[in-house]
This record gives sequence, C-alpha cells and structure tokens, in this order.
Amino acid sequence: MSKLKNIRNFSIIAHIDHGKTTLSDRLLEITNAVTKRDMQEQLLDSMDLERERGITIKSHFVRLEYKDTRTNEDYILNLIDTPGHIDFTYEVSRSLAACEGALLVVDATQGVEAQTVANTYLAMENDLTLIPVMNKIDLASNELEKSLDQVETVIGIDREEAINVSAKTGLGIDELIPAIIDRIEPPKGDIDKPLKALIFDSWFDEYRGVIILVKIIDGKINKNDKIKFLSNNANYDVNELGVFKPAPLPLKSLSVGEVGYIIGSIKNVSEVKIGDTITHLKVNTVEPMPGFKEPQPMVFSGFYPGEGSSHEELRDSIEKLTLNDSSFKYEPETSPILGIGFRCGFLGLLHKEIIQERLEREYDLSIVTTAPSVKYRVTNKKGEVFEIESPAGLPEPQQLEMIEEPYIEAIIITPEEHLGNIIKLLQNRRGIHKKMDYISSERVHLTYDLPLAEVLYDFFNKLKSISRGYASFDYEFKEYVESPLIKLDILINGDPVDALALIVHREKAYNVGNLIASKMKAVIPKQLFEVIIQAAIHKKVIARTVVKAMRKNVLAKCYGGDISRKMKLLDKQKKGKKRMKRIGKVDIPQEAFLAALEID
Amino acid sequence: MKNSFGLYIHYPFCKRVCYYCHFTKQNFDKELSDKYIDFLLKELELKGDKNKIIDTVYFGGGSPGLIEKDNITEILKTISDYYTLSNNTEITIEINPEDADLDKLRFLNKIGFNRISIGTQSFNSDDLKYLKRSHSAGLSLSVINDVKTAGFTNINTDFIIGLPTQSKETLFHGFNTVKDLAIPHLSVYVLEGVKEENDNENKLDEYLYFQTDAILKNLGYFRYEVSNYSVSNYESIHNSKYWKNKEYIGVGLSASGYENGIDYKNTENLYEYFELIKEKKLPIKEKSQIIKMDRHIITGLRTSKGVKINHFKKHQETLKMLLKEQILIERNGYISIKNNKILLLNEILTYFR
Repeated sequence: MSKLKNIRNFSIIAHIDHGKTTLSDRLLEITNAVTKRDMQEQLLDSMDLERERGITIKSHFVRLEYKDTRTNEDYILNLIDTPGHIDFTYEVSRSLAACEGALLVVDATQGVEAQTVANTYLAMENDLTLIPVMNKIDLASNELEKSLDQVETVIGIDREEAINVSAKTGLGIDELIPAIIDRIEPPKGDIDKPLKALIFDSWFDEYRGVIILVKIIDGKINKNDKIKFLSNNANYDVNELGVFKPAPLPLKSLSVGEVGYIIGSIKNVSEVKIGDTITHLKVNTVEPMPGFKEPQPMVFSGFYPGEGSSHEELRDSIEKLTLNDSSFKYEPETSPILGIGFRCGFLGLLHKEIIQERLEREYDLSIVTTAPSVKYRVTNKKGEVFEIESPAGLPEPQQLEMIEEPYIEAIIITPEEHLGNIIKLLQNRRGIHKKMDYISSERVHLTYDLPLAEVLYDFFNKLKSISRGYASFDYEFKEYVESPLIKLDILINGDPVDALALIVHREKAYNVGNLIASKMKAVIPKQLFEVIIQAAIHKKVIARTVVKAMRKNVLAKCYGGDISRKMKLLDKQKKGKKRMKRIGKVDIPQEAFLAALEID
Repeated sequence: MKNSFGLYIHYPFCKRVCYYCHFTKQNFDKELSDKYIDFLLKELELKGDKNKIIDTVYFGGGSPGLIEKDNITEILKTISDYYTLSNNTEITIEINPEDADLDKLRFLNKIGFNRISIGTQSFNSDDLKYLKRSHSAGLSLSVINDVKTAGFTNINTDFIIGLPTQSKETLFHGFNTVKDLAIPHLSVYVLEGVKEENDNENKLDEYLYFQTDAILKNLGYFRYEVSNYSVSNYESIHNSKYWKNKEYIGVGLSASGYENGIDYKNTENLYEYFELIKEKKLPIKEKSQIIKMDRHIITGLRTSKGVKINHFKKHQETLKMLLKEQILIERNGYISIKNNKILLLNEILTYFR
C-alpha cells in the first residue's frame, strides 16, 4: 500500500495537436517507464485509427514511479489520459474526476483554443489544480508572451506559474514532475471506510474481456473480492486487478487514492457505465459519486449494407464494435427503400465517422449511411410528446403541434480578423449570440447557442475554411427549444426516399431543397436509366434536377477471347459501385445520401 | 464424343504499330520474329494433345500476314502433328493490305487457309489518315481483288467507326463498296480508349453505330454480335466460340484460352515467354475460373441470339426488371439486349456481377 501523500493523480488536457501525446511520452521516458528505444512514437494511442487521426479515442492510464531527488521520497504518479475530441465531453469529465490536478497544455505557437477553454471549465468543475504548460517553445514561430496573456485571461492563472517546455526536444521537462509533486494535492480519502471506487474508463480486450479503470476513493479492493455497481446493482467477482506501467502489472490490492484496472466476471462492456461507483457486494452505505450520467447519443444516422455487403455481416460487425464502445448505440431499422439496416446513435459527428471508418476498415464492409440527424422532441395534436431520431418518424403536418430541437452552447476562439465571417456563419446557422470576450488584444472568445442540427451540416469545415484553420470550436448540450421545422422530402424517379428526407428550418427549406437537388445531380453517375431528383415540401415539388441516362459503355472487341480481361473490367466497374445503394432501378452513391451535409 | 476446340495463334509483330490497337504487339524485327516462331512451335509441342480435335484455327496479331511462307507451313504442320484437325476446319488469317501480295495469298490458299480477315479499316482516305494507316483505299480494293483471285470466298473486312471524319454518307459509301465486292462478313469496331470519353464523343459513336447497323441491314448483312455482321452462313465459327462458351486453345504471346472451365492467359512479356518455354513450362500467366452461368451471360449477351433464359437463375429479379424496362428482350427462350441498348452492354453486365 502506498501512502496517500506520495500519490499524485493527474491528467494532461489540451487542444487537439497541442502535443499532449508527445508530452506523455516524455514523462514515461524520464520516469523510465519505457526506454527510448522501446518507445513507439505516441505510446498511449493504441489503435491505428487514433494514430492516423492524431487523436486519442479511448482513455488509458499509466503509473509512473519517481524518486524525488530533493527529498529522496518515492512517488507514484498516475497519468490519466483523456479522449481528445469534443464529442467525448462526458468521458473527459469522468477521467478528470479521478484526478486532483491537470497539466493544461497550450501550444505556444497557437495560443489558447476552444478545447483548452472547454477542458479548463471541466477541470474547474472537478476542483482540479491546473498547471499551465506552454509547449513547442523550441519553434521559432512561438508566441509565448501572447499565449501567456491568454492563459492569464482565460484560466486566471498567473503567468509565473506556467512551465515552458518543448515536449519534442525535452526542453524544460525536468521542471514538470517537481511541479506536479509540489502543486497538485495528494488524493484524499479514508482507508478505513467501505470501498468506494469511481469507474472512469472501460473497454473490451480481445483476450482478457472487459477491463475497467477505477480510482479508489475510499477503502481498499482485493483480488477475488465480490463487488457491485451502484447504478444497476450488478455484481461481479474481481478476477484480477493491477496497474499499467505501461505493461499490465497484476497486484493483490488497490487502496485509497490509487488508480488501477480491474478484470472481473463482466461479459459485456455495455454493463459498465463510465462514472459509476463500485463498492463491495455487502456494503449498503456508500453514496454514488456525483456527476454520473448515462451516455446520451446526440447524433443519429441510418447504417445500411452497401453493394456487396449483407445485413448479417453489418449486424455482426456492429455487435463486435459495441463490445469496446458502449457509447455507440444501435437498433434495427427498416427502410422501405434501403432495406434492413440499423439506426445508430453517436456522441457526435466525429464519433460517427470513427465508427463508420472502423466498420469499413476493420470489417471490410461496404456501408451506406444516411445524413445524420439529431433527436427531435415532437408534440402531436393530442398532446402526446415523443422523440424521433430520423425525419421519417415525423407525423403528418396536420397532426403536428410542435417540434423542439436540441441546442448546444458553443465556444469559439478565433483571431479577431475572422470575427466578421464567423459571426455571419453563426447567424446563418441560426446561432444566438451570448457572449464575446477579448482574451488578448487580437483573440476573441465567442459563446453562442446553436441548434445542434446546424452543426451537423458541414459546420466544422466551413469554420475552418473561413478562418483559414485558426478558429477552434467546442460545445456542450444545453437544452431543447421549439423551432419552426418542416420535413423536406427527396424523391428519386417520383418516389420519396425516406432515407434522404430531412428536417429543416421553414425559412431555409426552399434554398436547401434546390441545393440538394443540384448537389445530388452532380454526384449521381450516369447509368442505364434516367434519374430524376426532386425536393418536395408537403408533396409540393420545389426543386427538380435530372441525371440523363448513359449513352455508351461497351467494349466493341472481344480481344481474342480474353474473357478474364473483360471480367476484370466489369469487376472494376462493379467496385466503383461499392458504396452505392440501388433504389428501384437506379444506383445512388453514398455521396448523394450525404448531399445535405455539403451545402450552405 | 470428343469436344472440338478452336485454336488461336498470336503473332505479335507489325511493320507499323497502330496507336488505337490494344493487342500485344511490337515493331517487326526479323531476328526476333524468327526466334518467336521457334518458341511458338515449341509451345505447340509442349501443349499439343492428339486427343483434342481442332475445328477452327485463327492466326491473329499483330500482323500474322508478315509470317514467312516456310514458317507458316511449319506452324500448320506442327498443329496437325500435335492436334487432330477435323475435316472442315475453318482456318483464318488476319492480313493487312500492305502485307499482302497475290503470290502469298495463293500460297495461303493452297496450304489450307480458307478464310481471310483484311485490315481495311475504311475506304475513305480522311479516315485512314486519321487512323495514321499507311495503306490507301485503292490498295485495299486491289488486295480484295487478289484475295478473290487467290481463291478465297470467306472474307472479312475490318472497319473502324467513331471517327470525326465520318458521316452517314461516308459510311454508306464504304459499306456499299463491301456489298458490291460481295464480301460476306464485316467486323465494325467503335474506336475506343484513345478519345476523351465525353458526351459529344459518345453521341457521335452512338450515331455512327446505329447508322452502321441500319445501312448494313439494308445491304443484307445481319449483326450476330456487337461488332460483327455477315450474310447468312458466313459467321466466323472461330470467333463465335468466344461468345458461345465453347472451348478454345490459346498459343503465343498474350493468347487467351478456355479449357475445362478455366480461362487462362499467356504472358504478355516476350522475354518471359521465351524463358518459360525454355524451361519447358507453359507460358501461362493467369488462370481464373468464372462461374459457368455468369460466363454464359457475360459472353452471350454480346450476341444477337442471346443467352438461354435458364442461365439467369441467380438473377431472376434483375432479369425481370431489365425486361420490364425494355433493356433486355426475350425471344424463344433466349434473352438478348434490345437493339437500341446494345451500346450499354457493359453497364448492363454489371447488373449481373
């Protein structure tokens, strides 16, 4: 058992690409957790996809051991990694709840960004001690003084407290650990109280089953203990527990203040809820940790097998994926047009993209997805209130009393020169201005309320392009608000396609209809049959485009009986149809289903 | 009863390489050509099987008209030594107008060739200039005359359409010439893969193709395959094997064959071809097995007669839809592509992959 005063639990929070992973690697290196040679670049990111996108999707932790040469005391430093994307706010907040402090990394060449701010808010809600770390000071382009100004304004921490480093070269890193030891409080808690542990992460390991990460708030947990989860009273045996250094090291017990992993008799990762509290089976006196929430999907999309993939393959792959991502929800959905598929719920747009990419890459599936939708709250004339996750579920206008849609509170930080364009974009997206602060002479911090639906439609790319990449964005769900929304139907060769329908703001409907019809014309390839695309409101057609039938696609020669050449050619053509869906007699490519996302 | 086979012999050399030709070929070189013939004979010996009855032989290329008399004699002799030639074997050779003379043609007729395919391409000098051909329309006419004098009646002339120099009138003039010369067979290919495939080009191709179809029909030729027309009983027996799922043996560089349900293709690399045969190995580079019913559909839809309806068992729904939409038609238990949709052949076939 380690003494509480020699434990530090901390996390690194940062805007994407500000160097969190490199800094983690550096800390592992100076505490000799790994040798430089063994270290793969960016050790904490394990999935290929994470490495490729440069983000951390699942959080992990590593226990570092450090002898403070000033006092000759041995310390245990638990570094808890947090997901790096805005879709995972809740998961980040639970990881932070396991910490007493955090390094707030700011890229000194960029300054404070929206995620820095959002994460700071989360850290403050959890009463964490923050240590500002100004990274990339080796780069000539750094604007250290300006960045420090912003830290003072936004975080309210004196610039003298910041530690200036280069995670890449190792410059300044030596100061970090002493600062962690001196400034971050040791965990509190009572070893004599009944077991109380916070679950802050879990995943499915192919070989070991469900692994959960916990912080022991009070008491002690031993191997072979019988435990229960407070949210659902489910009980399990502790088969193994231990810490990651970063290789797993099984231990006999974990005590108050410590962070570790537990492998129990847990079958499915969906039984484990992030933020839940664990205690011993027979204990009835422990209060659950505050802040626990069931993960709520915010963005919904239909997933259907594309050409060459079957419904069974899609179902099996989705089932396997949910084993290690419990925040992703799905249920069967049948579309009269697209056939049998799944309505999937995601934490956000990026989460959807990640899931889709994993299905395509890891399971080699061809998938057609429908335009993402938010969850609307609908009241009908009878006064019944229900939620719909797809436009197809919207009642006929004569039975409709009111539609409410989710609003988010958005944080945007931008250089002042792009302010005008960004405000125009936000207004265009039905944003409501809440607050505007200058965090330094040329950086502005905007707070807006925005309909979440408007963020789904190419908002990130637009924001990026009008600010030449300099504006950053973060958000949190706020509330449901009544809006004048209507259903926009899209018809292919005269038949409405449920999977293409959209819910749009009344004033935007005509414009959106026209843009979608022309966008779809541009992405639907010529084929055997003419494709007529129409947009309609309440059965009234408001826009129409036509993809004319193909004229010619033939190999005039048989090439000396070379049938395999012909086959290859056909297969190549067929492959081009992979992410297409046949609707009636015509093939509609994935891009057409997402046409609504790329218009403005 | 033993199966009978077609035999394709590839000769990959040309005096002048045409930019629009997609076959494996290279500039003629006497030494290399002699070496090639040596290896071709060796391949025949390696591959030959006296149990196999050959009822068609086709010399294609390249320009097989360039093969010297002795060598041709040698090849034919080797074929009959190592295979069993049937009594009425159709033996075809492709010949370019510039490679033919009466003496050679008489020789070919004497040693057993009974069908000639002439690389006319067009009787219009603007077309020939566009195709960068070295022969003139006049030369074609005189060679056709020589071919007949030499004793051939089963004659094909090749045409290329889809050229910006062509119109309904020039096409009529060319095809009418063929009719006047009493030539029983034409292959009419749409120029492909060299032009930019845009809407206007496709419109031109489409227009010229259907004009060709109408003109030739009026002149008494019927289309029995996408690009092949003949008067009755003059269809190419050899080429028809490709479309009727019949077996054929491929010999020579890049030659394709279909035996025992396996499609195979020889290497396209001349030196690899030499090396493999030197090691007494068949120069086969690729093999594939295509599901028989699918192969029937893919090859058979090229023909006017079409494909037996029972080959569509796996594709009932698609078939129903394409019949309803009048892309395909059914006649006497056969499914074929409706005349005006024939240029969409590949697109239609993707519905059956």
